[in-house]
Amino acid sequence: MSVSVGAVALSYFFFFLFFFFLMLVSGVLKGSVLVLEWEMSEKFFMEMGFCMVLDWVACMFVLSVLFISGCVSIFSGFYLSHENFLKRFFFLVQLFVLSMILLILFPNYLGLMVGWDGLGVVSFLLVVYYLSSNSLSAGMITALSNRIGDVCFLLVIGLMSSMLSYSMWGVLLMSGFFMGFLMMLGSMTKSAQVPFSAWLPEAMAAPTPVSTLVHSSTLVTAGVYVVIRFSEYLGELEKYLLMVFSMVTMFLAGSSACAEVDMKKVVALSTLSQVGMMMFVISVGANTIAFFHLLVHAFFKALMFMCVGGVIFYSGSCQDARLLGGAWFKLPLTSVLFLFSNLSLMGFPFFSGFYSKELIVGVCLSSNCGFLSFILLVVCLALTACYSIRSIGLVFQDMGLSSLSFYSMENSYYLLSLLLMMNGAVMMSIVMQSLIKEFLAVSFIKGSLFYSLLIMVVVFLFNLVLFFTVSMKTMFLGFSKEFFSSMWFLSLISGNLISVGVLTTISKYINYVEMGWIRTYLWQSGVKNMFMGMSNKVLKINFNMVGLVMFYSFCFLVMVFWR
Amino acid sequence: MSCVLMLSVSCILWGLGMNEVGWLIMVCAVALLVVMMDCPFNFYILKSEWLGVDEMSVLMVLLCLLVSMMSLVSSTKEVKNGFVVLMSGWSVVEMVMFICLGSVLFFSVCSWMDFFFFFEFSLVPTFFLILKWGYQPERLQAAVFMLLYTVGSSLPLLMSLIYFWSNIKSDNMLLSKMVGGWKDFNMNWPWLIMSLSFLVKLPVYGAHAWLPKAHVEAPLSGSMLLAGVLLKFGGYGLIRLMWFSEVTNSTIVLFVLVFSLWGGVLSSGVCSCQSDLKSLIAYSSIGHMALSLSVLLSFYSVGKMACVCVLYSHGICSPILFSLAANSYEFCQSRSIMLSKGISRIFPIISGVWFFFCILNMGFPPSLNFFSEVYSVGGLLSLQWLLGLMGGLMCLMTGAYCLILYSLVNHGVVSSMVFKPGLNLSYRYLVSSVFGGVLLLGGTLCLDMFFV
Repeated sequence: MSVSVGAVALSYFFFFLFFFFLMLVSGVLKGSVLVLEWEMSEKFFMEMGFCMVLDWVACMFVLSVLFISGCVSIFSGFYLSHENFLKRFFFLVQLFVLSMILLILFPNYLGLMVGWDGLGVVSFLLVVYYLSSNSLSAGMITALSNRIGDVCFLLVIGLMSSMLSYSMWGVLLMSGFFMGFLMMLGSMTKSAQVPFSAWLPEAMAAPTPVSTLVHSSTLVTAGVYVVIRFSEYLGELEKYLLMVFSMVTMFLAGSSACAEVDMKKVVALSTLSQVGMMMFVISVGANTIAFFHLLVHAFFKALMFMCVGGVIFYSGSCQDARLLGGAWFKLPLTSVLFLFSNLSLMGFPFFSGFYSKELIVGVCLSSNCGFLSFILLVVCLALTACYSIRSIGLVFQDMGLSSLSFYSMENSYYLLSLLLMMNGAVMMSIVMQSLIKEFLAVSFIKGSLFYSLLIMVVVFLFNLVLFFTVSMKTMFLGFSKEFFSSMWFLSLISGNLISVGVLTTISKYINYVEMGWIRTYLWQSGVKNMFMGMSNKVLKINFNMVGLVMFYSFCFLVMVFWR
Repeated sequence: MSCVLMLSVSCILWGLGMNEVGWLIMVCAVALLVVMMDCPFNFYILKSEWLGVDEMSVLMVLLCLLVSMMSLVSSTKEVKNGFVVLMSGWSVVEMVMFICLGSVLFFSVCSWMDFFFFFEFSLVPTFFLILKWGYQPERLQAAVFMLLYTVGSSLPLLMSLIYFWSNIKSDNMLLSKMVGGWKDFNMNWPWLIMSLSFLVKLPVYGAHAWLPKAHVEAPLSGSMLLAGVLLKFGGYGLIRLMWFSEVTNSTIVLFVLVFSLWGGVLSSGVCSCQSDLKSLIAYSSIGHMALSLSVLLSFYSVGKMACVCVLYSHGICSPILFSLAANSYEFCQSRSIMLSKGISRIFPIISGVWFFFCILNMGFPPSLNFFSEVYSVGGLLSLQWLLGLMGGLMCLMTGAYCLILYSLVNHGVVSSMVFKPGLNLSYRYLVSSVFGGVLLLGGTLCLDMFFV
């Protein structure tokens, strides 16, 4: 097993270093871009080809995907160490990383669909990796939500076939009306924005290394990446709709994470709220800041998933936080890193997340995004603080419920992956800001001490109120716990209601129309009676002597006197 | 000429008993096709008094040969056991060769009467394939339905072709079109009645009931040929008929378009609730054919190209799905979805191949299926936005049933029917699957050849 883990991880790190060296040498950071185009067919008037674009955006994203995949391979050497079919798992993860890199490097709809469809389908296989009915239903809702996005993208390609180009710069030549809207809708399904949010918490049925790679950094950010690349197709109306949906997603995810008890689902919902924040920033217009937040978030969220994975593994695969506790004394390194990644998520000063979140709040204040959206943004930041502190409390506090009082954390794969990721998560934004000048944005806001302190005090009081209500057990809370823990009933609507409704309707349709009208009426009795009725009657006539004579004399008369 | 000579010498040698010559024959046949491939896509060239060539017919002949090859490879169970089941002297292999011969000639002849003859000719070996080699009463009903309804709906076509022949005095496709054709005719209703036979063969949704019955009752090679080749007769015939009859876009054509598209959506939905594996794949065939028909009837040039591409890619993908279903029939002795489950735990490579072909069926880029689906939906979208939405809905349901098919066969606990002694698993299915997969994936690289 160590050979395969080592081989896979080394290959990822090799490619990471290769790309890093290439990036430093080739001057991509100063703004040069490599474009390779491959024309596929000349039957159409427009250029039908794949184009590969290697600019600093693609390079940075590829680097972070490769680094995180390397750490995840080492981590899965620890988490799946009892697994017999580890090579199969690595094969699936490699296919996933390949699809993601194809998506990143080819901002052309024909090439992007390879990566996009590949992501959806391989994530289905990864989610159903543990062959149980729970994971099958999770996999189905993941794959079908992604399929809706695929269909939207197919329609975008259909629309783009009437315009002159499939690439991201096609908007300079010709652009149609619905392209931006359909593109945004497709990205929203992949990034689990509001109507399509139900799949992300369900997809936590996958093994934790899969969640670390897929559901924190790569799959859900694929939609955001596509919107960033093709952001010039978005008009005013689409940006407005994107803002509304992303706000609702942030609020939904933040409030649901305060009431959720499964550790992995809490982290998934925090991912969802951060992705909503990225989409929100794109809708305001600052694509570079959204990309910065995407990269930084990938690192500390992966670290958070790894820590949660360690806690789950050492508790004997128990994911329910009500039965965990006391990690502060039992798993010191894990709990420290969990604390750091949560602080980074909250935007504690000078951690990774602080730089990107500060830029986000700054750009929202200085753009024209309206008073209500600003209030909602602050509320979502407060909710982030609330659920982060709650999850820290759940993992750290020793309530005496966990039966094991001593864990030994001596698996070298786990330590190695945590060490690699730790450097990545805490300092990543400073490193990125020093490499890439576009991430140092300056916003011209007059910083008044009174108002910033006021916001901080309001956030603190809001969190106090929330903690008070979450920990009380009155009857009112019965309903609101149901409401929040099923994501405002979205998971019940998307999964249960739609699938049961559709399948029941189809079964009834088969029963009545398919088996009823078509098979029996059209084929078996109706048309057959129509055809055979005449010949049956003629046969019956011919069996009677009088009838026979009359029939043949009639035929004789017809033949003789026909002109 | 030299190719034909080589081919006939090899056939004689094969008949005399040299067994390795079989591969040589196939290679020569494909080489013959490659030689014929120097024709541009817009022209129809008469190579001789009997054969007419354009790129679409070359593609279809290639498809026939490939599908026959794959079906013979996959059905060696009937040949290899030392006991060949013969029905009045013929075995399954001869029937498959007859269908192949009839199909190759159907796609190459250039006169309308020969076209009609070979259209009906290939029904006879199919009828035998479905009916014999088994004694269930459903076989009789399936075979009779197929024969009766196909032949019955092609009688108007015969009548109109004879009428046309007696007017123009020539039934050569190219010559009759150049001489005059159907000028001064309002071709709406006559077109519908003439194309009825192709619509039943294709099959369009209302007239589709023969297809699941025939698939369920036929043996593997019959199903493979039926799905791979015989359904394409309808598509090919419609393309030739559209060219020949100069039909224009009108309410009737739109009616058939909308009817077939909505029927495709419905049959893709019906797929999700089937309990028989072969029936599921049969309904998926109906969905794909409906998509190709509706984009053909949009009268765009991309429509015809996308239609031919769908025909080709479906013609390779669907027989392989049937061979995989027959594979799982071999170990579970049942086609029901309740009994053949959980293959992913015991046969991982076959499970991988199932996955690969399920996602190819739903249009996974960069395969040929993806491009055919994209340009079909694109063509429909250019005609009318609502039709494009319907096409998109069909793609969504296609994705749903393909994943349902994969998870039904592969997920979960291993079915208890599987562990029987004497399980003869052979890799012949995998060989033909890999071959088909390479064709479909590599078709992207030479897209111009398939977009005719």
